[in-house]
Amino acid sequence: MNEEWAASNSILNFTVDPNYSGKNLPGWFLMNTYLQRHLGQVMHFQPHDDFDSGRAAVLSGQFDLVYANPFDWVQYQQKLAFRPIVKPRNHFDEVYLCGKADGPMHSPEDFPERIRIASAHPGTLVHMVGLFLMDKADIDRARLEFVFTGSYQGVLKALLQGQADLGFLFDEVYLSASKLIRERLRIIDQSDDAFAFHAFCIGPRLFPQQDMLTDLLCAMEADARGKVLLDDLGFAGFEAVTEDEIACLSTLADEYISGHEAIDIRATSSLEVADTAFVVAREDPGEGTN
Amino acid sequence: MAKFMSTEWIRLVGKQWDTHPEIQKDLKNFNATWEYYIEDRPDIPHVMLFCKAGKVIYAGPSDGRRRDFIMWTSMDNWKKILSGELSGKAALMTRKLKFKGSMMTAMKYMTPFNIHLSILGEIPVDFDI
Repeated sequence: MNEEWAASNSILNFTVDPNYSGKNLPGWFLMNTYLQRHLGQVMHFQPHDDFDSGRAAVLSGQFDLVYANPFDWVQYQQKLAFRPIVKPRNHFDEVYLCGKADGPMHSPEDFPERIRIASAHPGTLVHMVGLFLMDKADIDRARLEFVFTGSYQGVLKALLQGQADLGFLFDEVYLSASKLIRERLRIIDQSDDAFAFHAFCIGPRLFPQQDMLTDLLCAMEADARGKVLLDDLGFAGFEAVTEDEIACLSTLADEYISGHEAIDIRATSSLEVADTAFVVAREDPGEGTN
Repeated sequence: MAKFMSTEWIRLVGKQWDTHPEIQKDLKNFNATWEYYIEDRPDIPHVMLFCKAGKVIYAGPSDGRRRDFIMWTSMDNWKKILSGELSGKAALMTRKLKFKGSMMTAMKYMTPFNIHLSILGEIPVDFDI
């Protein structure tokens, strides 16, 4: 019994963000094999179908290694003391605003008065950036009606089945979808922020191997088998996450999760200054801007 | 040539802003004040810009009004940012440009944020202050 317990306790548990529950999954199983061979420890890979179940499993302490989306790794760091160690090199999370290719919408001017949007989960960076895209298109948020699907595969399904007019899609999901699916979608807008990223995070049981694991992942592209695996997963390589990047994305996630509103005129201005005050502030109108 | 971080310099920045319709368009719904200062030169007064609906309507000394954002860093890093050696996003992510204010807003307006830093760099400036 004690031997059995010791054996199960020595197995490292690995999971990935649920957006990989579709096409890329075999590659992640191979990644698990690659890591366990190089770390010399038995690893068990367990994917999840949706964001809520994936997060709940990690937060219940079942995992030692997670490849997580930005807002999730911030949570794991804050709640479980996980450490984000490695991120894809030159690879950031971007968002596609998609409609149906055979639908009437080509640009925001074509959007209906009430817009049904499929989104995987409100607590993701993809949802936040999707909202930013709508703001930039001058779409009043009061016009939006969300269908939360729990996963990006669900977003694709909702769009293609006509349950939503638009979808917020993680770019990797769109790009890894089959040609048949991509041909049925139209990209109406997309982000180009190059700001947030997924990351490998480790739990306390892996802390002693942090340097080894960081070096292993960062050197994958120099190893023939590692390179094949990276190509299969769609990454050029991995690089270490810096403390500054962690601090920056933690601030962003905290603000979003706490419901902080962006400063703009039609949202809540933090200034509360009457319009006349702006005229007073123009000290030298005859010479243009002061 | 205007001295860096002087009233003359920030007013030239405000005028230069008027020559960039793209930032005015991107910030048409944006309404905020922000302040700049040099971390290792506490003797130099802080300056600020006030943007309403994409237009700079005040550029001058920081006058005590509420600031939505404060940006500061060392003189060396300011030189790198103004020369374009360090991009706005990289400066934020590496915290070389210290930033107080809504990070969400900065991300939402990352493109105009970068344009704004390039505008600062378009003003011929004397760093010998």
